[in-house]
Amino acid sequence: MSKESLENKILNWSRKFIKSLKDYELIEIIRSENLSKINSENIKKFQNYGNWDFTPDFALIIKNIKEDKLNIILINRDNKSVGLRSIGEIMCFNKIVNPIYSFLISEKGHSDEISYFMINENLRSKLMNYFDNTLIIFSFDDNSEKIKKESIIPFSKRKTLND
Amino acid sequence: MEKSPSLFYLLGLLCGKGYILEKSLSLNFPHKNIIVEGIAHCPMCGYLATKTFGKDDKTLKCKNSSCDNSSGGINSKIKKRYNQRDLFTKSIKENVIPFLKSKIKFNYSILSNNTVTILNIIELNPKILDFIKNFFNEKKSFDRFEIPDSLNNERKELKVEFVNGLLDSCSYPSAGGWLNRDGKNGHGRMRSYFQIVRNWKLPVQIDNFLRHNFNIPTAKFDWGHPNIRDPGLQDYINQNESSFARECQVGFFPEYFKIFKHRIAPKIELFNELLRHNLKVKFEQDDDWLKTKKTITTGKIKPSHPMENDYRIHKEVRGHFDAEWQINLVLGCKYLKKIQSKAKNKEVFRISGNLEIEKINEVKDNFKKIREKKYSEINLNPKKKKVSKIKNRSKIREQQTYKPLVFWLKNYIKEKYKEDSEAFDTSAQTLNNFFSSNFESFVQFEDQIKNLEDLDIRPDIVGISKVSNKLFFIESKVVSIGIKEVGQIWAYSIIADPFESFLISTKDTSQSLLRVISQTPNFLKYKEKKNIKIGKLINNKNVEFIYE
Repeated sequence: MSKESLENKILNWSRKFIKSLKDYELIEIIRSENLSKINSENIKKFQNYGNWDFTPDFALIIKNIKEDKLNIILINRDNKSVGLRSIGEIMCFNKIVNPIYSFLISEKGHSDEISYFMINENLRSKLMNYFDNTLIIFSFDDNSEKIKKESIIPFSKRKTLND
Repeated sequence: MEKSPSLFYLLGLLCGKGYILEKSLSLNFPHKNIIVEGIAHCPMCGYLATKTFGKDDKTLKCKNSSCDNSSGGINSKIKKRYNQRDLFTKSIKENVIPFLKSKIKFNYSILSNNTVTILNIIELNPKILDFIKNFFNEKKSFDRFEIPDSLNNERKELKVEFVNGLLDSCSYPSAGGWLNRDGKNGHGRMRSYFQIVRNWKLPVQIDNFLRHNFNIPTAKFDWGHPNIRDPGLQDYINQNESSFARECQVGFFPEYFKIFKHRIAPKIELFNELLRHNLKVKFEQDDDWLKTKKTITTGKIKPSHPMENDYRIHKEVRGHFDAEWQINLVLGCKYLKKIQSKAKNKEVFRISGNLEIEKINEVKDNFKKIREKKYSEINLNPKKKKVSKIKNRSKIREQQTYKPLVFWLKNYIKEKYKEDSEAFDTSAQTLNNFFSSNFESFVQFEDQIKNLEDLDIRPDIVGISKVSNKLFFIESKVVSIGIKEVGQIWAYSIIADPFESFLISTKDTSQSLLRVISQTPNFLKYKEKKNIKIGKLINNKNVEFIYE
């Protein structure tokens, strides 16, 4: 799968995912831009955005309609299998931004090197939890825009994403 | 607790590719390629059809020289194609789990990607878990497991299920792995393989277990040793020195394995394809490696290989070997030992396979002279390769920091903790080897090392105090350290929990990272009271801390 087709899948899926969230609407999609330097009025509404000197593959700004409050979703993509390097990278972003959702989406799921850690709940939570939230890793079906159920980590999020 | 077939199947699965965790088990089912193909037979005469070298991949040629298709023309689409990833997951759900659950209570989850499917078994009865831990002598992973002698005393159906577990976890029926043999009704004897990763004891133990309990031979051993995998030094010459360091393959013929069964598709279908082919072609000889002539003639003596004592080779088999069976002998094959016991000089037998000669010195000198002569006759100049100069330059720059950082780390530990230490760069050798060669006992690090050893990427420098066994990591960079650069060493540190962890660059730290560090509590924290320390390497000698 090319970088472009994976990114298109991510975009289409993201829109559907946000639609499925109760009381949220999509405000802006930022693709591969340094969040502290982009000229976006929406980003500037976040406190400390000046510290966000990094470039996620996607930053989705969403709004809680009831509370009239902006939230952010961070997504990194990996055309290879997800390894420790890519988990470490997005987790650094998460620790600064505290996004409402954070996804690491790969073409090939997780790599063998992290298989062991991903099923060790203690290590997994240390690696993937931030504030009261967790990073979610998954990949798509090769021939559709559906999520491959068995690729979703952590297991506890499988139901959420499948619904 | 009942000793059931399900339990012994589980033990076999673990032995082949499993991990024992504190309260759970993890069973790995690797499937390297998404699609695997079956055997091709000529539609005209039914002989084996293989690739036509030099032509396109779409046509095959018949191995029967008197067939019209012997020079090509067979459509390669006649081969059956199996989607391993989908079939593995399906079989685990439909075959493996129901069989295990027929006698064992547990809960589970499945994790899968393109190359592996993992069955995670949880909520297992503590008595069963204790039995499993005890069976494997408290070892925790497939690369350390051995087959205990006590298994020979169990009833037959349990031993069969143990082998079934091994077959499903680490054997690979392959249409491409045939032996060049003529049979009564055709050509090519199909083989399946056990692929044993990083476990040097298990291959011989599997062979001996099969012979002892079922009178079944294996066909071939392919050891990850330079004399076996790169006997002509071609990989070495072409700067692929470590190509030998792969898994051990133990080949076997499916017709001897009819008593066993796979539960994983497409292994079931592939195994049956190989079996049907061999039964149809009919081979009269048994092609048992143990029965082949052991005498090593001058022509079979291999040239010396510069990697013969490489650290990746198990300690017991470092050195020169001219034949696979010699490695089997050193690693404890009881059948070879029996043959060796009849030799007039056991050492002569080990070196030359000769049972009659008594005087060792002459044999030793002669073999040494021949292998050295053969080595001296090899042209060691590599074939020219196109190398990206820009890529190389940048790689060398980072590698140039490793040596000074090794010295710095040893001094740092000495000055701060008054302790002697060892430090090394992981591009030079593996952690496991470093610890086993430099420390008499490293039991206290086994989990940490194993965790790191399994990673494709590791910290650049690892240090360890010889006094208190404190671990130290350094990640070296030749770019300005920003938020993104912290992620890698942070993840390593979370997993291995070093005493101190450093991120050191030859360049200044980015302002944004400094801002984040000052405003985001715990950004560099990887454990209570432990933070990654950020530093700058000055003049390739000293480290100035920017944040500690």
